[in-house]
Amino acid sequence: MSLISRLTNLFRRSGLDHEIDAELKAHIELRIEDNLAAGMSPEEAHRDAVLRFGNATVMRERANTEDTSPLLAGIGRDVHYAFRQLRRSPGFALTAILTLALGIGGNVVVLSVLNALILRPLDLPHANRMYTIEQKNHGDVSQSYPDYLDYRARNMSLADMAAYRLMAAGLSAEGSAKMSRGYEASGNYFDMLGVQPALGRFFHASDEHGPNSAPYIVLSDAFWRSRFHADPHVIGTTADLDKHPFTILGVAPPPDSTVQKHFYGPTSGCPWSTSSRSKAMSSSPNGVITASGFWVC
Amino acid sequence: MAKKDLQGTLDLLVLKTLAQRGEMHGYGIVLHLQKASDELLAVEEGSLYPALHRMEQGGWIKSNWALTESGRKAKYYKLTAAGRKELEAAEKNFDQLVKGVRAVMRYA
Repeated sequence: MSLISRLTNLFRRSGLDHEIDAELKAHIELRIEDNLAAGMSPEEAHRDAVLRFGNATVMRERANTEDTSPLLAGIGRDVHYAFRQLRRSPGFALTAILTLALGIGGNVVVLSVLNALILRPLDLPHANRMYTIEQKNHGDVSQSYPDYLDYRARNMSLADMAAYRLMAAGLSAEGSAKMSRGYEASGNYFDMLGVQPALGRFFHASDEHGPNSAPYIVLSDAFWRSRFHADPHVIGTTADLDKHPFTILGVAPPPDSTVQKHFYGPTSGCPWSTSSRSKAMSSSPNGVITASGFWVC
Repeated sequence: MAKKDLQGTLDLLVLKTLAQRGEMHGYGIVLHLQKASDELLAVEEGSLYPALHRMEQGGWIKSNWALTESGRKAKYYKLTAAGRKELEAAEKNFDQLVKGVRAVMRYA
């Protein structure tokens, strides 16, 4: 508090000086008045007042010191001097500034990406109880869908398990088709994460009854805003993924870093089981694509 | 006595004056100190002002400009709540100091 007033006083030095001056002068004048009233002559009165006061200049300086921060004022003067020197050699100044800018800028970019992707905790309830299960076979981090189903069926240590896989499809809506990215996710994905829909609803495990039974997609907030212009009436309409119709169920809330990708479709909804994409992968008994991904528990 | 102690004593005197006499300007405080101490304490008048400014920065007193009876503009000072607390503490400290010095002086 006093630091703030000291700082502000540094910026109004002349105003402060005037004020202190006026205060000290008032004191001397009052003493002169009293002296005159006591019968002294004007010169005597003045002399006596000034004598009793002591060294006015010194007192003014000391009062000034109390009201400002001489340390900061000194630093301020040094900075001012540094600026003047830099102005005299602009080439050096420019080089130094550029070097610093590149160094600092590079660091900021790297660290902010790191922060967004890795350091910032997930914006989900129970974020500290979420784990990813990865396989480290031959440097391959994918899992197979039948394995996921087995793990899930025999799971005794985790509350729930969900699976998801990155996919890309041409999404056509409102007359235009664009290649878009999304996640194929198991039906319980949103329930397991504990996220609530911002609009509409999410799909649930109960919506799945076998292949092609759940042609639903959920939009991420960013995708909803950019592609559908935040139109609340898209809920319930149909969008085509690679020419297969899907109903838009709802919109996920922002800014959840795991729901960044654009749309979500339950694995049972994906009709690609016999498409050319799955040729390298084994297919599960109910014909759903099994190429896998991580799953999050 | 060390400068700090002297400074502390001056603070105590000023705080007590303001506590007893309400709002005062620097000159008034000087007059009161002279009268109340029976002229024993003659403080160099100007040295009051650095002390007053320091105490104001510390939050013990508050200032505002006002007119005296003779119509002159002067800066008046008033005690704050924090100042009142500080006065109690300073008074206690001073009592202790005086007792201590007396005890040493009287020691046979």
